[in-house]
Amino acid sequence: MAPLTVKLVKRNQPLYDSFDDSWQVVHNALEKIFSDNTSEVSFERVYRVVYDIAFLGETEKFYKKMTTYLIDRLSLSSQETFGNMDVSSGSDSSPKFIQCFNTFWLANNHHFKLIGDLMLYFDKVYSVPKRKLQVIDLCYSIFATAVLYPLQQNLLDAFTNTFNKIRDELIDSEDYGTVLEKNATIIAELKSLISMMELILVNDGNVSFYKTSFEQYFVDKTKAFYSNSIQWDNLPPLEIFYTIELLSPAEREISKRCFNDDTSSKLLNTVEEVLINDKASNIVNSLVSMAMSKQDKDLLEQIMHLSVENTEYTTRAYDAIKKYIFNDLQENICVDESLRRRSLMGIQWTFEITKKRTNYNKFLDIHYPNGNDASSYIIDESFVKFLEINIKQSIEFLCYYADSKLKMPPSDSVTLETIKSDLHPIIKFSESLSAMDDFMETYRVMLSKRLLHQRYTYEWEASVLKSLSSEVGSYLTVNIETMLKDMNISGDLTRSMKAMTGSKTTDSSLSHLDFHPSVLTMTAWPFDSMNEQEEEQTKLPSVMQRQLDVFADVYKKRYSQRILKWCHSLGLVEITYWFGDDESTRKYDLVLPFHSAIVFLLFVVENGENQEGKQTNQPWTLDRIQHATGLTTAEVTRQLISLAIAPRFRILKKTSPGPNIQSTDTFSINEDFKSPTETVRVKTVNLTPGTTTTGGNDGTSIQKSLERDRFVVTNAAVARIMKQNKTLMERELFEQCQAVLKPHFFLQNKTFQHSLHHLIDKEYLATDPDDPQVYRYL
Amino acid sequence: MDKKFEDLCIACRTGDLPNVDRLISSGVNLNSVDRFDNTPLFLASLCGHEEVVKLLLKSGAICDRDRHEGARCIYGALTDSIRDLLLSFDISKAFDMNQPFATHISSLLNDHPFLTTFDIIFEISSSQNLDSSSTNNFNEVYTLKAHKYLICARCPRFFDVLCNGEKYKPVIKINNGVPGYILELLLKFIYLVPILHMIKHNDYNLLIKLSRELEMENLTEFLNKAKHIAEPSEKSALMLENQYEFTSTAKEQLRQFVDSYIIQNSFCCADNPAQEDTIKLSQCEAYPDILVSLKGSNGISKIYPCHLSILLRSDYFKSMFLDPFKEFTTYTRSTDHYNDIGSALQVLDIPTSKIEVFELSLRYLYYDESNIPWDYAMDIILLSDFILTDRLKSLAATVITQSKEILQNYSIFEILYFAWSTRLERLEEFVAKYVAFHIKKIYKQPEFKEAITKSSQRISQRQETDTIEFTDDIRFYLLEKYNFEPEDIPFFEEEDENDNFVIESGYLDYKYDTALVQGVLQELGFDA
Repeated sequence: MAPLTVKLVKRNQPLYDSFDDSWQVVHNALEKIFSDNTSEVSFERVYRVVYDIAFLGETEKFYKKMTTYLIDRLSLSSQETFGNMDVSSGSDSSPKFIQCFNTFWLANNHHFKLIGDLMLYFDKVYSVPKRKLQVIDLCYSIFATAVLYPLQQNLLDAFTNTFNKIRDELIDSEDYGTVLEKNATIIAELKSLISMMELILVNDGNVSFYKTSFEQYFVDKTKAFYSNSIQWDNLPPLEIFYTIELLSPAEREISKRCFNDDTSSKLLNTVEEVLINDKASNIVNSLVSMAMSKQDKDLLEQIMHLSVENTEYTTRAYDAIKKYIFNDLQENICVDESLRRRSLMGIQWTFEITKKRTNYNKFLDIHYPNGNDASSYIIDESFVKFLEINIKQSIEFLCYYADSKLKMPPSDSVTLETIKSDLHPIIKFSESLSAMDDFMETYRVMLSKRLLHQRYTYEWEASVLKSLSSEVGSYLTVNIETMLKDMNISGDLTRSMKAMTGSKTTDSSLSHLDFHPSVLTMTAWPFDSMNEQEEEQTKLPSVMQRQLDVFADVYKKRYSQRILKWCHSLGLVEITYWFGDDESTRKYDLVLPFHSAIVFLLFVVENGENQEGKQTNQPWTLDRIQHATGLTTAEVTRQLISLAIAPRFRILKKTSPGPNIQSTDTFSINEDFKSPTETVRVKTVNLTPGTTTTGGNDGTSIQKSLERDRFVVTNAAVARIMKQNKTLMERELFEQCQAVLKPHFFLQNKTFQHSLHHLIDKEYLATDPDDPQVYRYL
Repeated sequence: MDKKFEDLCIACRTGDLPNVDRLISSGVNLNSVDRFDNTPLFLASLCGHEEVVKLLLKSGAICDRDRHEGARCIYGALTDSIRDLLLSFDISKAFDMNQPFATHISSLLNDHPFLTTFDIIFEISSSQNLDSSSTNNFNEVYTLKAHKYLICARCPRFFDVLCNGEKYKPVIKINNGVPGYILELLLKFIYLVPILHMIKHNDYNLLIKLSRELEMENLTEFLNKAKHIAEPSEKSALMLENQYEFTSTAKEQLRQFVDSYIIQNSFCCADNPAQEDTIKLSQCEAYPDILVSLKGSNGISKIYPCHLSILLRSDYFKSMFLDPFKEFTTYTRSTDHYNDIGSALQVLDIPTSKIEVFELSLRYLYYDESNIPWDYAMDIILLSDFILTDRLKSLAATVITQSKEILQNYSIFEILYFAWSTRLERLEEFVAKYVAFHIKKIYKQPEFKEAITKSSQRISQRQETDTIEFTDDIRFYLLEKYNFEPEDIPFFEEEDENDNFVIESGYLDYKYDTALVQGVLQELGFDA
């Protein structure tokens, strides 16, 4: 197209008429710039010439000339600079190559800027309106094609080699500062080259060379560096650990210094991947065992902090701790079979466990990367896993321990606070046990005895109940609450009874009886329904019977609508008795189960109704005793065996020797009875399991009530789930039930099947006629 | 940075009016900038908090379009109502801020890393150099750099009063008890930096005394008023009133300086000036650091004593001197030997043959002269296209569009081609509009067809969609001519042509005009 002729305003005549002359001026200027003789270039003149070229409409031609010139010039100087250079990828020559390339780049970048400024007017009239690369960008693009691409591999190799060399030095040294300072020049060169690669755009100026050709390459090389440069396989775990610990900060230090945030985090992730995932995760197990067996808290903390973000590693580390604790418990906690009683074994065993727990609590109280409560979670999980090995025994033992603590009378050394801290681990465990309801049932049975035997401290029980309730849920503690409430009401009633009888003093013979009636809500207590006939036939000593009648009156007055029934077999009687003759009486406080007591009292009371002094023994035969007490023969036999034959509490004596009771035997008080303690707790022996009406102290009854409860809960769960889903495969249903019931107990297939049959019987469910595995809700 | 000021910036971003109010009354400087150079006023207008903007303006925040910060406020305003609010408080009423005059003058106080245009240094040794709030060493020498020509133009008494008349040395030692920071305030005033908020109450009396001795009447007057004002809103009102006046005064002073020192001292010579003449010019009372010459149409050159610091307003000179080309080297060498008798300054050539055109451009650079006679407008455009002063270029283009004489002397198509060659879209649109309004007269002219053809060729160059920009513009202005919106046309096309409403709307006239353009296009073989 012909240049526009502007007639009306005359521009100044061009300095040169011909394009070639004008180009010569520009060419000379460019040459001078490239040979760093810029101060010989007159901006005024070149600008004017470029202006003339634009005025003459030769812009396109000029642009092409420029392009050709730049390609030739850059190829030539690249050849001059790098042609004779040893650019093989040997690492020794790498820093030199980097230095050389950087110098070359910086010089040319400076030239490009000057050229761009000289072509200011040209860009304005040509490059911008025609949407061509502006001159400076043209320079960059030609630099890419003429220099960068031909040398790309050499540059990347040299970059990697040089960078890895600094990495090596950092790893070997402990003082990063010195290493970085020593390498400051080369680091600056690397950084300058990074900004060069970020500046040079490729793919029509859409994306930088850095992104397309450098970044991923370098990330891969970094991965290779950390995987291969260290002879990992030959190192012991601790050595590996300390090496890994050194590497990450070293890499962070150097990559932060050189790269932008994006790349440096990519690099760190790569390093993390190699070091933590590939290396550290494999040794974390042995490291943790090492730290734990050496009780090296610092090492453990270091191990935990090796990686904050890598969850796989952290999980492995936690697992390793758990495994260690579990193994420790398995090896070191065992039941001391030499102890006489099972409860003592349980107490001892649990004590050992709580001691371990305290120790671990102390040891694992380190700073964890993600939240500080990790320790208690780890510990409880490992302990519960251990407890689950023999869950029945564990529950029993834990409850024995709790029972033993709660039985203690309050004193200076045993307070609410010590109880709380002693029982804290037990309560914590209870929450995670799979058979939580079993635990609660066992606990409840022991509690019931404590309550009935008046060996409890209300405040403690209430406090423990509160903690339990918040851990296991109120569903399982509601009965216990009722039990405690019962005790409160009983106390109340006793007080009001005392107030009434005290004012009337109708029967002075009752005054030396200390009567503590317990009013029990039948459903809340862990006893089978009472044998009413047996209870009614039991004959009480008249004094006692009168006392009961007084109480019954008081109760009726207060709760006229309620039925009061006596359950003597649950009672406990404390009798103070002087054994021996007048010269050497020994005072003992006898604590007797109710039936034992009425048997014993026969010898005291029936012999003369004289409460003051010693009684003369009259011979009592089995028949007579049975007749006088109204108990069954079996029960009387059992009581007599307990009182006269069982080794420790022979407070009665039998006429014939030998361990058996014959109908001809007569019984009397054993005045020679001696005991090391003033209080004597007499226990009734068990002849055949299951015959006892007091129940509860043998496992089967707990098991039964437990199964009953579980059965009911399972029924409810199945019905609920089926109501929602209408039809389900048996397996799905089972899994869902298990999930729902998990907080209460671990659902066994047996219970589940039982429940299914029950519900089918009750026509809540039906199996699908085509597929017996599918259940339908009706 | 001041914690209170930082809080104020945050409150302005979030629009926390009560907090802004509180911080203002606690006495924070409203016209300071944060580390990103944002003023509180800018932040509030950018974030669209009109109430905060209003409060800031009333409390003394300055919006001066002639200054960079003020311009940013107006351009950054989120809503039109905020922009209008800012404009109503604007103190300069300038119409364009591509190269704001005051900002340029103020920026000269900043030292450039390698190109320094200062020609005078003041060294003040005084025991009270630092203001009372500073804890630095009291006996430190206070150094201030400045431009001699600017001081001469703005405050002729400066050297007599403060430097015992000394002004020929490059370094002047001042030891008359005037603290350095007071001198700095005066210099800032000379360089049009708003100083009101920098003045400590205790310094008013000294400043007033000095300004009186220096015969800076409007400063004296201003200080006397400001002294008694504590209320921030009143203070800012005073600022608004005066800063515009200060700028106008400065412009006037520089105009006088250009007249009496630059134009007066310039001289004509045939071809190459004699060495002694340029030396003489280099040492004239204008204190130049660069000489500019142009070659008139008669072959006679004219040389002017000029100042690089002023020429730097043009991107042409800026590029020339901010890279280490020959000119930069020569400049630093020649100003290094400034005092050597016998050395001459370098001479730059300006490619225009008209003295008036050059002088107008020079006046524009020195003091924003914008009064351009129509007959020089085109030359001015050409020259500013060369020296890259876009603002002057569009000023001149405006003159063309508003001048009656232009069209009496030039054909409309000549103007079009001129617009193309100088890339002035404003002028292109002006032509298109003119053609649209006079289409009945123009459509038959062969020049019209030629212009359309040329425009179509421009398109093939630009590789855009195959429309012809010139005719598209004409169509656009045809709509404007008859007060239509583009979406009105389909509606009218469906209506009956004989309908009174259609006739009254002027649609038929519009249709006729468009048909004329369409006819020409068809004749030329363009289907568009």
